[in-house]
Amino acid sequence: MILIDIEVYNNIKKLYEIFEAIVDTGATFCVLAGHIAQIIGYKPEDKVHLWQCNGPLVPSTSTLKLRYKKKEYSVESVIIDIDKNYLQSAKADEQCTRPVTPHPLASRIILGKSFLEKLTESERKEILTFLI
Amino acid sequence: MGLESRKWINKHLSEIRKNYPNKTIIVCEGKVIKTFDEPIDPVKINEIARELCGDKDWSYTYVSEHEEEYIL
Repeated sequence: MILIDIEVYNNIKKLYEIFEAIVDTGATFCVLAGHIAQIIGYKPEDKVHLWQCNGPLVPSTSTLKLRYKKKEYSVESVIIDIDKNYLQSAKADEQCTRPVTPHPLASRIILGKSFLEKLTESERKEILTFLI
Repeated sequence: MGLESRKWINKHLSEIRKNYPNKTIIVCEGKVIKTFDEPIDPVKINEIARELCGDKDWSYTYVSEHEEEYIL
Protein backbone atom coordinates (compact mmCIF):
# COMPACT_ATOMS: atom_id res chain seq x y z
CA MET A 1 0.00 0.00 0.00
CA ILE A 2 1.34 3.44 -0.90
CA LEU A 3 0.68 6.07 1.76
CA ILE A 4 1.50 9.75 1.19
CA ASP A 5 0.56 13.08 2.74
CA ILE A 6 -1.79 15.43 0.95
CA GLU A 7 -3.26 18.75 2.05
CA VAL A 8 -7.05 18.93 1.91
CA TYR A 9 -8.80 22.31 2.14
CA ASN A 10 -11.13 22.55 5.11
CA ASN A 11 -14.07 24.70 3.90
CA ILE A 12 -15.25 25.26 7.49
CA LYS A 13 -11.97 26.38 9.06
CA LYS A 14 -10.70 27.96 5.80
CA LEU A 15 -7.30 26.29 5.95
CA TYR A 16 -5.45 23.28 4.56
CA GLU A 17 -5.21 20.17 6.76
CA ILE A 18 -2.71 17.32 6.33
CA PHE A 19 -4.39 13.99 5.49
CA GLU A 20 -2.86 10.55 5.16
CA ALA A 21 -3.82 9.24 1.71
CA ILE A 22 -3.85 5.82 0.08
CA VAL A 23 -2.62 6.05 -3.52
CA ASP A 24 -4.85 3.81 -5.64
CA THR A 25 -3.85 3.67 -9.30
CA GLY A 26 -6.89 1.47 -9.99
CA ALA A 27 -9.42 3.99 -8.65
CA THR A 28 -10.98 6.38 -11.15
CA PHE A 29 -11.85 9.00 -8.53
CA CYS A 30 -10.51 10.25 -5.22
CA VAL A 31 -12.62 9.06 -2.29
CA LEU A 32 -13.61 10.82 0.92
CA ALA A 33 -15.61 9.26 3.75
CA GLY A 34 -18.96 10.90 4.46
CA HIS A 35 -18.18 11.63 8.12
CA ILE A 36 -15.01 13.51 7.11
CA ALA A 37 -16.72 15.33 4.21
CA GLN A 38 -19.24 16.69 6.68
CA ILE A 39 -16.57 17.91 9.14
CA ILE A 40 -14.59 19.76 6.46
CA GLY A 41 -17.58 21.12 4.57
CA TYR A 42 -17.81 19.19 1.28
CA LYS A 43 -21.42 18.85 0.13
CA PRO A 44 -22.66 16.29 -2.43
CA GLU A 45 -22.88 17.92 -5.88
CA ASP A 46 -24.14 15.11 -8.11
CA LYS A 47 -24.31 11.31 -8.38
CA VAL A 48 -22.14 8.98 -10.46
CA HIS A 49 -22.80 5.38 -11.54
CA LEU A 50 -19.81 3.07 -11.02
CA TRP A 51 -19.05 -0.65 -11.07
CA GLN A 52 -17.33 -2.17 -8.06
CA CYS A 53 -16.39 -5.85 -7.68
CA ASN A 54 -19.78 -7.21 -6.71
CA GLY A 55 -22.18 -4.75 -8.30
CA PRO A 56 -23.03 -1.13 -9.01
CA LEU A 57 -22.26 1.75 -6.66
CA VAL A 58 -23.94 5.16 -6.93
CA PRO A 59 -22.03 7.59 -4.70
CA SER A 60 -22.30 11.37 -4.47
CA THR A 61 -19.64 13.45 -6.16
CA SER A 62 -17.87 16.53 -4.84
CA THR A 63 -14.91 18.64 -5.96
CA LEU A 64 -12.05 18.39 -3.46
CA LYS A 65 -9.57 21.21 -3.14
CA LEU A 66 -6.16 19.59 -2.66
CA ARG A 67 -2.60 20.90 -2.34
CA TYR A 68 0.46 18.78 -3.06
CA LYS A 69 3.99 20.17 -2.99
CA LYS A 70 2.64 23.74 -2.86
CA LYS A 71 0.47 23.31 -6.00
CA GLU A 72 -3.34 23.50 -5.71
CA TYR A 73 -5.70 21.13 -7.50
CA SER A 74 -9.50 20.91 -7.87
CA VAL A 75 -10.19 17.21 -8.06
CA GLU A 76 -13.31 15.24 -8.92
CA SER A 77 -14.06 12.95 -5.98
CA VAL A 78 -16.77 10.71 -4.56
CA ILE A 79 -18.17 10.63 -1.04
CA ILE A 80 -18.78 7.21 0.49
CA ASP A 81 -20.80 6.69 3.64
CA ILE A 82 -19.17 4.26 6.06
CA ASP A 83 -21.10 2.45 8.81
CA LYS A 84 -20.10 4.07 12.11
CA ASN A 85 -19.25 0.65 13.60
CA TYR A 86 -16.59 0.11 10.94
CA LEU A 87 -14.55 3.14 12.03
CA GLN A 88 -13.04 1.11 14.92
CA SER A 89 -11.50 -2.37 15.20
CA ALA A 90 -13.96 -5.24 15.56
CA LYS A 91 -14.84 -5.98 19.17
CA ALA A 92 -14.34 -9.48 20.64
CA ASP A 93 -18.10 -10.01 21.02
CA GLU A 94 -18.98 -8.59 17.58
CA GLN A 95 -20.59 -10.95 15.08
CA CYS A 96 -17.96 -11.80 12.47
CA THR A 97 -19.17 -10.01 9.31
CA ARG A 98 -16.14 -7.89 8.40
CA PRO A 99 -12.33 -7.70 8.73
CA VAL A 100 -11.13 -7.01 12.29
CA THR A 101 -9.25 -3.90 11.18
CA PRO A 102 -11.03 -0.51 10.99
CA HIS A 103 -12.20 0.74 7.59
CA PRO A 104 -9.12 2.06 5.68
CA LEU A 105 -10.87 5.42 5.14
CA ALA A 106 -11.63 5.97 8.84
CA SER A 107 -8.81 8.51 8.98
CA ARG A 108 -7.60 8.72 5.38
CA ILE A 109 -8.66 9.54 1.84
CA ILE A 110 -8.01 7.67 -1.43
CA LEU A 111 -6.12 9.44 -4.19
CA GLY A 112 -7.28 7.97 -7.48
CA LYS A 113 -6.60 8.77 -11.11
CA SER A 114 -8.63 12.01 -11.01
CA PHE A 115 -5.72 13.39 -8.92
CA LEU A 116 -2.76 11.33 -10.20
CA GLU A 117 -3.39 12.36 -13.81
CA LYS A 118 -2.95 16.02 -12.85
CA LEU A 119 0.62 15.42 -11.61
CA THR A 120 3.76 15.52 -13.73
CA GLU A 121 5.32 12.23 -14.77
CA SER A 122 8.22 12.74 -12.35
CA GLU A 123 5.82 13.45 -9.47
CA ARG A 124 3.94 10.22 -10.26
CA LYS A 125 7.19 8.25 -10.46
CA GLU A 126 8.32 9.66 -7.13
CA ILE A 127 5.06 8.56 -5.47
CA LEU A 128 5.35 5.05 -6.94
CA THR A 129 8.83 4.63 -5.44
CA PHE A 130 7.12 4.49 -2.02
CA LEU A 131 5.88 1.04 -3.04
CA ILE A 132 9.45 -0.33 -3.08
CA MET B 1 3.56 19.66 4.65
CA GLY B 2 5.15 16.68 6.42
CA LEU B 3 7.24 15.34 3.56
CA GLU B 4 10.24 14.45 5.72
CA SER B 5 8.08 12.92 8.46
CA ARG B 6 6.21 10.85 5.86
CA LYS B 7 9.54 9.60 4.47
CA TRP B 8 10.56 8.69 8.04
CA ILE B 9 7.29 6.78 8.55
CA ASN B 10 7.67 4.85 5.29
CA LYS B 11 11.31 4.03 6.09
CA HIS B 12 10.62 2.81 9.64
CA LEU B 13 7.24 1.16 9.04
CA SER B 14 8.19 -2.37 10.13
CA GLU B 15 9.73 -1.06 13.37
CA ILE B 16 6.69 1.21 13.95
CA ARG B 17 4.34 -1.77 13.43
CA LYS B 18 6.16 -3.67 16.19
CA ASN B 19 6.15 -0.77 18.66
CA TYR B 20 2.75 0.85 17.99
CA PRO B 21 0.39 -1.86 16.69
CA ASN B 22 -3.13 -0.62 15.92
CA LYS B 23 -2.44 2.91 17.10
CA THR B 24 -2.51 6.28 15.39
CA ILE B 25 0.82 8.05 15.79
CA ILE B 26 1.94 11.63 15.22
CA VAL B 27 5.55 11.93 14.04
CA CYS B 28 7.45 15.19 14.31
CA GLU B 29 11.02 15.60 13.02
CA GLY B 30 11.82 11.87 13.16
CA LYS B 31 10.24 11.11 16.54
CA VAL B 32 6.89 9.65 17.58
CA ILE B 33 5.51 12.38 19.82
CA LYS B 34 1.92 11.22 20.44
CA THR B 35 -0.07 8.00 20.15
CA PHE B 36 -3.80 7.24 20.20
CA ASP B 37 -5.71 4.00 20.28
CA GLU B 38 -7.60 3.37 17.03
CA PRO B 39 -7.99 5.73 14.01
CA ILE B 40 -8.74 9.38 14.79
CA ASP B 41 -10.59 11.96 12.71
CA PRO B 42 -7.83 13.73 10.68
CA VAL B 43 -9.13 17.19 11.57
CA LYS B 44 -8.64 16.40 15.29
CA ILE B 45 -5.15 15.07 14.53
CA ASN B 46 -4.32 18.34 12.72
CA GLU B 47 -5.52 20.38 15.72
CA ILE B 48 -3.35 18.37 18.14
CA ALA B 49 -0.32 18.27 15.83
CA ARG B 50 -0.43 22.03 15.18
CA GLU B 51 -0.45 22.57 18.95
CA LEU B 52 2.43 20.14 19.58
CA CYS B 53 4.61 20.77 16.52
CA GLY B 54 3.86 24.37 15.48
CA ASP B 55 5.60 24.99 12.17
CA LYS B 56 7.82 21.91 12.38
CA ASP B 57 7.52 19.09 9.83
CA TRP B 58 4.98 16.49 11.05
CA SER B 59 2.82 13.67 9.77
CA TYR B 60 0.51 10.96 11.10
CA THR B 61 -0.35 7.40 10.30
CA TYR B 62 -2.67 4.68 11.49
CA VAL B 63 -0.40 1.70 12.15
CA SER B 64 -2.42 -1.41 11.47
CA GLU B 65 -0.71 -4.74 12.08
CA HIS B 66 -2.61 -6.61 9.39
CA GLU B 67 -4.65 -4.08 7.41
CA GLU B 68 -3.10 -4.75 4.01
CA GLU B 69 -4.20 -8.38 4.18
CA TYR B 70 -7.81 -7.26 4.27
CA ILE B 71 -7.99 -4.84 1.35
CA LEU B 72 -9.33 -6.22 -1.90
